[in-house]
Amino acid sequence: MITMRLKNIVKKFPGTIALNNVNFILKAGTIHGLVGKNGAGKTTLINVMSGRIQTDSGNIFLFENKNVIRIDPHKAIQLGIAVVPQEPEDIQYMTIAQNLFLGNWPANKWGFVKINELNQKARKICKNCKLDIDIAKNVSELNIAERQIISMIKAFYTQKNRIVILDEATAALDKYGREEVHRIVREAADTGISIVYISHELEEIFNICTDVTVLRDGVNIATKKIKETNIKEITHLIVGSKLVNKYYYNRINSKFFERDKEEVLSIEGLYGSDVLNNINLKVYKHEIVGLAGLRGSGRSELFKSIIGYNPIDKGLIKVNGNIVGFKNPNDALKYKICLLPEDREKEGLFSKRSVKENITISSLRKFLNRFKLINNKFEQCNVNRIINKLKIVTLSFNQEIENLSGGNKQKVIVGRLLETKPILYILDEPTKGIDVEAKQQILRFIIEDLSKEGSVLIASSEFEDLLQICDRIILLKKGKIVKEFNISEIDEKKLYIYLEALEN
Amino acid sequence: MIKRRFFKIIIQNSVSFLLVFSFLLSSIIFKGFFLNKYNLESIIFDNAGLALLVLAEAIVLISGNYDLSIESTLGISVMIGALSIVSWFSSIGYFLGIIITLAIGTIIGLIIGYMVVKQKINSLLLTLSASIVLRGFMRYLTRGIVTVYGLPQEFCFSDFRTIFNIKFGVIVVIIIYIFFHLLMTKTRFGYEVFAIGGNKESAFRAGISVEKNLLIVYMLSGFISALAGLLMAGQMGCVPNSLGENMVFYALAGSVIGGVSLLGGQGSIIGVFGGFLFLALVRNISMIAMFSPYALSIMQGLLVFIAVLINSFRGISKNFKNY
Repeated sequence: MITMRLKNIVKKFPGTIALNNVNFILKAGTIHGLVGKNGAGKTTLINVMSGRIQTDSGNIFLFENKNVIRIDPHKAIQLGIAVVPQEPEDIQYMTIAQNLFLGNWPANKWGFVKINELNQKARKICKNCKLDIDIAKNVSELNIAERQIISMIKAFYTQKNRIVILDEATAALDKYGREEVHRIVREAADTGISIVYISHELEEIFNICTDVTVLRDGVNIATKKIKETNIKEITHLIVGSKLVNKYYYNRINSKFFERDKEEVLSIEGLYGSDVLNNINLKVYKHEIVGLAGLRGSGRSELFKSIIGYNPIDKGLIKVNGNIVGFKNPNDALKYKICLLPEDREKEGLFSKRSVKENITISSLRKFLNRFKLINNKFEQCNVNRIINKLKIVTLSFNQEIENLSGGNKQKVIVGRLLETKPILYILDEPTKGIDVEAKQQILRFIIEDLSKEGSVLIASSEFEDLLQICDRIILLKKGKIVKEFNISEIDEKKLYIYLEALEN
Repeated sequence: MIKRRFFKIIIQNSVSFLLVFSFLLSSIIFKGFFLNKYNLESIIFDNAGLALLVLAEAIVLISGNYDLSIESTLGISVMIGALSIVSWFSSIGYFLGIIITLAIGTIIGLIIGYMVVKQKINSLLLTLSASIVLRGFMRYLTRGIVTVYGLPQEFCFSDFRTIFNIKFGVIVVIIIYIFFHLLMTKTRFGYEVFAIGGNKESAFRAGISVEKNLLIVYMLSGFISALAGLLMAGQMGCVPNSLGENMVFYALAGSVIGGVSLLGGQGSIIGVFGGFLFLALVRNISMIAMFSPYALSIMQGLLVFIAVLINSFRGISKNFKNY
């Protein structure tokens, strides 16, 4: 029985087509894997399925119904469509039983909750799932895997949903948590619930799913039965045959970089931030080092530990051969190391301030005159130079930064880093969520300017980007460095295969 | 680890520790156990207004919002009630006066709730400005009369002696606390308020009507504040136009000491009563021991500080889990 059918779904966002004529059929009692690179359209597709966004064209049919349905978030609840996100959405200071029946507690006509009935029901559900857990415990006492399981049980059994979308619900879990989740998911599928399972790890998909759909660039490339395919085939489908232009921009300075092998940053045996596990890493002068890893691999944590934003449990960090222990990002700035944060809006920008202020905020000291006041002319002149150099599209440098597009915002932050003249640029997902043109400009800029002035340590979950610009790529998984490649010995498929193969 | 666990236990049960500590302290100061029935009654009766105000603040905090206007709501509602009996419509009688007072409190709560919920104005700033406006309005109404006297005896019902020779004000406080304890721990409404305070977004997605519940919370808070005003007026036998001034900070402190999180979703009404009892005890002790009023002021200020400190420690001890 078909529970949901998407027909010719098209969704356009400014500048890109997120979904291009996608057809998708979800059958009852199946676990349907959804895979694809970042930006392939997975998130858009599940947002369409759960009614969070409306399509530009195309039809949605539900439950063998011949009529076209328009889903909105409210209707999705009524229809029994739920999304379980990566981060559990629960109420921390309520018990498991209360959370299981959130908003739907059994009550008598006076509004008093029937606590015994509630607990009994919750206990019964947990027992049916063979879950040995004290339902009177507060959710805040559980670990992330248990919380995720509770959210799933809630979606499967107490809300009685018919379609449940697990959006990378296992990304933050370890092996045992995952096995437990898989068991629960399989049992739910046996009761006839349709499950859409999104994961970056193909091994997991092959372990649990019955069908798999591959998305690439907003197109449904293939839908296959798991039994009739294998990891290698799916990897090929995900990456596609498009040849990534390695060393896209022919590094002009590569000879220059070979000549002086001078260590700029050296990390020895670093532990910290919960995930980092014995990180050893060296970055040489004028080198571009890429950190490849998925969400939760510890890239951002590593970067934050280096610049002193997160505390370090153990390990040494050397800059130019001197042992340093940065207590905060300001210390790191004194050593001329600066970070471009992953979350541009939250950690990077002062969204109500002007472009000018956003560019010069880290380097104001440079513009002080002898009375320790800011020399406006000098500042403006510098800002104009940056704007021209980075091709930032803005009406003037006094424009509020929140009016700029994503790519231009990112360029402004790159400009800010540039103004501090660092010896090491740490870039966390510099190309995330920006349009293609700005992305190419930034990549070109990293190669042509940043690496000439200093070294670059860059992380991205879009491996294409890394392959285009890096000299060396380090594969990071669950806080551990698993493999290191020179750029000449690696391509995107290999990278994906390594990422899968080194699962345990 | 042991140190951390010890720290955690102390922070999580801060009310009980503080209460035991202050009882011991009082026993030392007064050379003997000072808690007897009469003293306990007078502790609650003298601070009946504070008792209810702490509660009014606590339920708003649990729902994940602030309300700094409760002290002015308290003042203006009882002032309007008193003025309407004494001067505006002299024939309406005490009962209607009480009803008017409670209605005004509830309506103010409704308006503030509407602004917070529907207009999505930050509750801290909104209620701060509302507090100033209401206080000014209250002064304007009295036109230079600093204190309204001549209230009918029945209006001051909290001073009556009733069953077991206990003052009615004390009984009102206890009944209200029991009622709210039941409301917050046993009913759907209470569950929903805790859920909204804990995670508004999840609560909304789970189909809980966030707006309706928050509106009710603010109305209840306004109602309790007005009732607190009546108790205070009854205790004093008059309504000064500074009634309730600066009390909101003690209300906040009492709630936080009693285990309510400033972030919402956490706390219990029993704990809140403990928090109130602690504040009242400190005041009572220092009055019996005849500290100078300035010393009392310093001490109470420090208590507010301690409350904020406890709240931030609670945040830290929560984070311990992650490490």
